[in-house]
Amino acid sequence: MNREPTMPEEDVLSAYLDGECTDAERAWVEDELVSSEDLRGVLAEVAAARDAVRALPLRDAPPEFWARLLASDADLEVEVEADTEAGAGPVPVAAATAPVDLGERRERRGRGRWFAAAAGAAAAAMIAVVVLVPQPQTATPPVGALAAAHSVRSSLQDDAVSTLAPLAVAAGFRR
Amino acid sequence: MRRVARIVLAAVLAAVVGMLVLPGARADDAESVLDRARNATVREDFSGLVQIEWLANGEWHTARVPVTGTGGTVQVGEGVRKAEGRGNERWIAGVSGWQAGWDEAVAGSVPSPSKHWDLALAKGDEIAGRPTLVVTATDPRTKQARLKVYCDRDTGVMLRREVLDAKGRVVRAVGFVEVKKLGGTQAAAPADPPTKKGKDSAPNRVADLPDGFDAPATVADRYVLAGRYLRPDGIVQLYYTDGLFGVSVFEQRGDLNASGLPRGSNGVAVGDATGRGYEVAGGTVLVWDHADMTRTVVSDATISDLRAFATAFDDGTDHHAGIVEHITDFVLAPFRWS
Repeated sequence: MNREPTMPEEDVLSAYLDGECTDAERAWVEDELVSSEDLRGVLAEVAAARDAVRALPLRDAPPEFWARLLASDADLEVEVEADTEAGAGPVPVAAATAPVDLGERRERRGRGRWFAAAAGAAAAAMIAVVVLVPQPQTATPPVGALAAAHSVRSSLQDDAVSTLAPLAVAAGFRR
Repeated sequence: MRRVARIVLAAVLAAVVGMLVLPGARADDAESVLDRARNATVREDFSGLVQIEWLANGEWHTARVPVTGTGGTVQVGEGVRKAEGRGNERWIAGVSGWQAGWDEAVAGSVPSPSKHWDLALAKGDEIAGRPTLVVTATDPRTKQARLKVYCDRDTGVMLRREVLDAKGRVVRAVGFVEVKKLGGTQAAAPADPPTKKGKDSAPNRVADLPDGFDAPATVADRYVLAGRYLRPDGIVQLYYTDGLFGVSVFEQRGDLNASGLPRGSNGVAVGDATGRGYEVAGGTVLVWDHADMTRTVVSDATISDLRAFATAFDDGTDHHAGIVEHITDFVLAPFRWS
């Protein structure tokens, strides 16, 4: 398996700017920056994007957010302890410091893009169904008002007293 | 002597029979009594107390309403619950003041009551101390009396209307229980209440219904369409009559949302649908949905009669539905869910 990066990616550069690269990645990026003007341009763009995001104002989360977060964190700790007791153990240091395999990463990203595209198409199809297909419409008749309307109409072609009298009493519908 | 005895016996028999059925009374006479009663409250001044009685879930309910008629204006109720009829206008008062219930003349033919009913005229019981004539309407198919109308013998004013079920039992009645004044010199109509609001709340007569709504000219071969109206809330009102019973059909687009209905209803099968039926002071109410349309019918007829009407109405609208609607329903059916 080729462990030497053949082409730096944006996320490698982002990790480099954040100081999160492995030694091998950092050495490779710095070598490339010396010789490649394109890579220096990409690095400048990534740095500008990162600074723009960090310049966004911070807002305080509502108190219930922290309560929910702490609750979920407690659940997570319980799960981690259970894994440790089951022998899962810590992640090996060697794996964290191994040279990045950009080919494998690109392959994973490719599969992710296909999955994202499929999910997007499915979402678009759902939206189309919701927008284009008529939704079931419901109706709740105002039965009290309709009973009164019938009394009114009946009174015009029938005896007015017997037809209008129900309008003067509680209709008898229960809420 | 024997001849004289026979004559006396015949005279006694004639008198007895005459107490039950008016001599020479015909269906035409019964119909003229009904016609006279329809407009009597416009011709005659009156005042008194009317009682509404209705049977709901085996239990009788009653409500009393003071009524007056002055100069052709009929007023019922008092306080914040009252209504008024003045010519072709109808006004309903509530806590927010007067609202227009109707503001235009009605047109449309009303079938003769004798077309679908066997009518009989007889001397009736006294109602609120007034002598009456009673018109009994019998279903010619079942030979069962289904309606009795008691009219004041002197003025023609209708004093009581009783609706009977298929077994001939009274299930609903509206009638005077007290008559303070009836007849005499007619007074001037009362002044128009100054607090009446605009007429925006009254329905409008329409020549054509909105797309998707249908109004068969006749229902169940007896109820004739007498008017089509569009209410301010967008609900279509159709008014049918067979000459004795008026039935209003209210139509709204969409399936019935039964969770929003008042409590106290009973399930009533209408074709394949299960509707909700109510017996209230204002009449019998049946709500159901059919072919993406929610329908409410109101009448003082029994729930069984309304059920038959509703089923026939659905059949009538299905018959009128166009091929395009059927194709549309077929194509879109898989995308519908409930």
